[in-house]
Amino acid sequence: MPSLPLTPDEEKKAYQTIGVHSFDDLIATIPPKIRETAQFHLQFEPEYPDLSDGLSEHELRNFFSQIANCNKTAPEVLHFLGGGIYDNVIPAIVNQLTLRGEFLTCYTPYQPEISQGTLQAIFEFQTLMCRITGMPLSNASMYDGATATAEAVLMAQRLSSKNKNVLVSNNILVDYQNVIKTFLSGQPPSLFEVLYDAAGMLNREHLRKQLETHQPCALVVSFPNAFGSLEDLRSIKSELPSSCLLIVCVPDLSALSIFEPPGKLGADIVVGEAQQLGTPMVFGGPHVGFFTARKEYLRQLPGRIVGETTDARGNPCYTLTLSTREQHIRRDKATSNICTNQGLIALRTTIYLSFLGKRGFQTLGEINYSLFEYLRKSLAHRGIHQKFPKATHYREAVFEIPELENKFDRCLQKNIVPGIRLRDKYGPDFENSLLITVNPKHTAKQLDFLVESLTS
Amino acid sequence: MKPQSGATSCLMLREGTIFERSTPERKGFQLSFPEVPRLTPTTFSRTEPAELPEVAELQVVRHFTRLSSWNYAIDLGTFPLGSCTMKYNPRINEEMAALAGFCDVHPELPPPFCQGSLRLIFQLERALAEIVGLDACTLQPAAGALGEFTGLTMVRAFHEKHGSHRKYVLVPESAHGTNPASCILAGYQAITIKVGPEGYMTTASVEDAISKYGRDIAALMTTNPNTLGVFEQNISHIAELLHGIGAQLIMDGANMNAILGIAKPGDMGVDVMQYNLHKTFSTPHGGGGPGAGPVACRSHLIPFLPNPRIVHKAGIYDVEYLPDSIGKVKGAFGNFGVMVRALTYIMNHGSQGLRTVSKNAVINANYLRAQLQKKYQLGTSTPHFHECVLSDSRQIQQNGTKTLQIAKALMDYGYHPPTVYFPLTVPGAMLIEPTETESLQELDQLAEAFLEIAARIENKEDTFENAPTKTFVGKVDEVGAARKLILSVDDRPR
Repeated sequence: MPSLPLTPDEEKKAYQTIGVHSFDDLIATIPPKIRETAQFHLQFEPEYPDLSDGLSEHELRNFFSQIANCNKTAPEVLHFLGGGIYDNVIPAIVNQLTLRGEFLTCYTPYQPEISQGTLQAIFEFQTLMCRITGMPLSNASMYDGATATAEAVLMAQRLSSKNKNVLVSNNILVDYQNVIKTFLSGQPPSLFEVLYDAAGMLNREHLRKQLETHQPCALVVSFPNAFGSLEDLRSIKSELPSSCLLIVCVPDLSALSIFEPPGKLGADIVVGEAQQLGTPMVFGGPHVGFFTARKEYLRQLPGRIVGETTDARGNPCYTLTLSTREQHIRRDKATSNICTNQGLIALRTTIYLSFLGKRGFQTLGEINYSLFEYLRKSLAHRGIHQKFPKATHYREAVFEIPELENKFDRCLQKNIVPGIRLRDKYGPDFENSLLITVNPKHTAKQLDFLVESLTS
Repeated sequence: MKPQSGATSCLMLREGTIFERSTPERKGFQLSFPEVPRLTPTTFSRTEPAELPEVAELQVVRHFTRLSSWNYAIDLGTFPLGSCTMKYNPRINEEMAALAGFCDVHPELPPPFCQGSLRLIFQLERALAEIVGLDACTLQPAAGALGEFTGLTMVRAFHEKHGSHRKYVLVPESAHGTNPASCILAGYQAITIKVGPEGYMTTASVEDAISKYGRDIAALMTTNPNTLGVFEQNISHIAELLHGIGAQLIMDGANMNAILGIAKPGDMGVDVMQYNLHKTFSTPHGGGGPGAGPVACRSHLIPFLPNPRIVHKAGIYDVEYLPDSIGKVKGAFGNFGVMVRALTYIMNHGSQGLRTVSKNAVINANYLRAQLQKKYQLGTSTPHFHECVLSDSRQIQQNGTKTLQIAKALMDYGYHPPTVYFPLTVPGAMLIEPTETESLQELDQLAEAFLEIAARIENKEDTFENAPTKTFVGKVDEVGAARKLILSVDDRPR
């Protein structure tokens, strides 16, 4: 049982103060029929078939450790998984500082006078996101990369008075495509695909056709795309009429450490996931989405924004601003329904990037790039080639592996998860396709081991 | 005797942004470079490096520790924020969520490699469904608002599956702002219905709406206990009325903290509802997230739950895709780390303990109300559950002091203000939720602060126009912030 402060004597005292005889008097407005059946039973088979009294901390530790141990993780398992979520090296101070009660147990900073810590950290997060993406405007965070991309589509629709159609390249991550679909499912059909070409890149011919047919207000592409390839954003932008915004989702924000930021390549809205910068994978969340855009779209931005101002004593300070876009003020006219976002994970990202610093960030990108190039060459040397070899890759790519099914299973038996099988995500063309991803925890030896396992 | 609590002025350290601590070529965190040739890209390569700060470890630690000291937090004091349920966040939750066996798990691991995570989701879903008396649950939504959208979209998919294309969702005027905003996102128009004089919905207002909009009504969305902290006494009858026209009853579970083991939404006729794990089940607010907004539903809505579903067959946990599912509402499986904390909390309490949580939350709110009503007008005289609502009407009459000033004045007494100007049905509302984790002593001190403020107003000693005065920064110029926008360091005038 947990520790709650109210003692039996205090309970009696409270009833006296309130002017009732018992707890039942306080809940008398609940119809008796509902009250009678209210008790529930908690089952956690097989250990606790009826958990009526709670567990002690010691029992909790045993139970949860046992569940956690049913997951196979490093160092027992070596994995090469990515596809939007990436393993990364996290400095000790990131966890330590994030666990400070003043950050962990504070509230959304609606009261700026007693929330300056959170507010300034978000202001720094906004600055970091702008500098990395090359965009001038950032919000305080979104749930994750997929929902940030869906919100970017909704924002593009709001910015367009006439046409609400949106084109989505079908080489962005499948999860992102599916979340966009769900977010737009409440409105008349407005979502159209642009296919990728034989090189796995946005199919320009199909793009031109779709632009003409649908007159869209936006095109969503990814940088790098779901196959790990970097699209030529500048040349894509040159294909678009001025009425069509270029939305770039960046499934791997860390790529912008060594590759040109989309802001410099003609993007109008740049969104995505920042998990790979200081947040563990945690089976897919909590992570943190970022949302950046051109300045002129400010009034249509979803979510919270922090601005710098002064206090009554003339000192610089911070506050949430432009709240009239938000649901708690504007209700059904709000730019988004988002309320709680990912404040604490945005703080993690800010601490991580601050400590990694300008040079460290570049080094991180170079590590990923160099590891990938090493792996690519080793695999090629052993006769395993990329499905889309022409493109530039950052840290992951699709490899064609003969008899993948067998090879994959054999790797699993050796506790290697060699990558993500794409057959179920992108169709029968990908029967023997494996998305292999490197991360900064990998060593040259481990890459050699992977190559050996996939080729022997 | 000297006061034992409250705000005081003490040493606080100033701090610029992290960018101002930067010095060229100072090294921060050191990554080890693997034993592979060091390469840089030749195409699309970045010409200007991103201007991240260049700071050493201690300077980063000091920077963020100083920042943290400027925050008010549950760990520091009472946080009577109505509707937000700022209860204590037990630290065992954090310890369990930090287990490497949970953190180092990629969601694309083949199921045999992540049986632990899949089991945890499966069992938490079952527990959450049981607690509210519904049949199934999804943990995918990342927060309450996304949970609302998920429930609404499931309702739309259900209607469309039955060939019914409905237009409206009824929302009481006391609803959270997210409710109408979520309706719009789900493709529905929100129709506001009046709250009765006692602070809850009358069957007449629902009957009126039904006679006006009939079978164009897809659902009614309500919070129960509602945002006035009052139980919707007609809920079962309202559910019957809705079901009579094929409409659904959606519950916003923001206030579940009041009725654990005291009333089950399933027994009230609710078809689908969302939870906020960061309210009811003590996962930390973190300055605005991460949260988690699981959605529980009755059996007829199960086919429409988001994909993938976690199933347990022949002793193995696996994922399954439903053909009629609304699809995905978030990447991967949801905010798994938040789920670990919530399950820890649930198992720490057990079914009896969770009932005690709600019982004590209701006792605490009523204890506080009994003291505050001596000087403040109650928003409604109907019995309250876990929160109570006050109005500033007496104070306005006495010397023109409004809710905003009272809220800011409370900071000088060492408290976070209550939720202000919400619900919209009470003019100058102060929505107060002390939660079960505050002791009566702490509630007495909070009440004393409230009453002293009221007394100073009554005696015309103060209007608190300049409050707060003891905080690290003085009153913040919010209007100026919106007028002259500086949203990043690079927006500052040079």
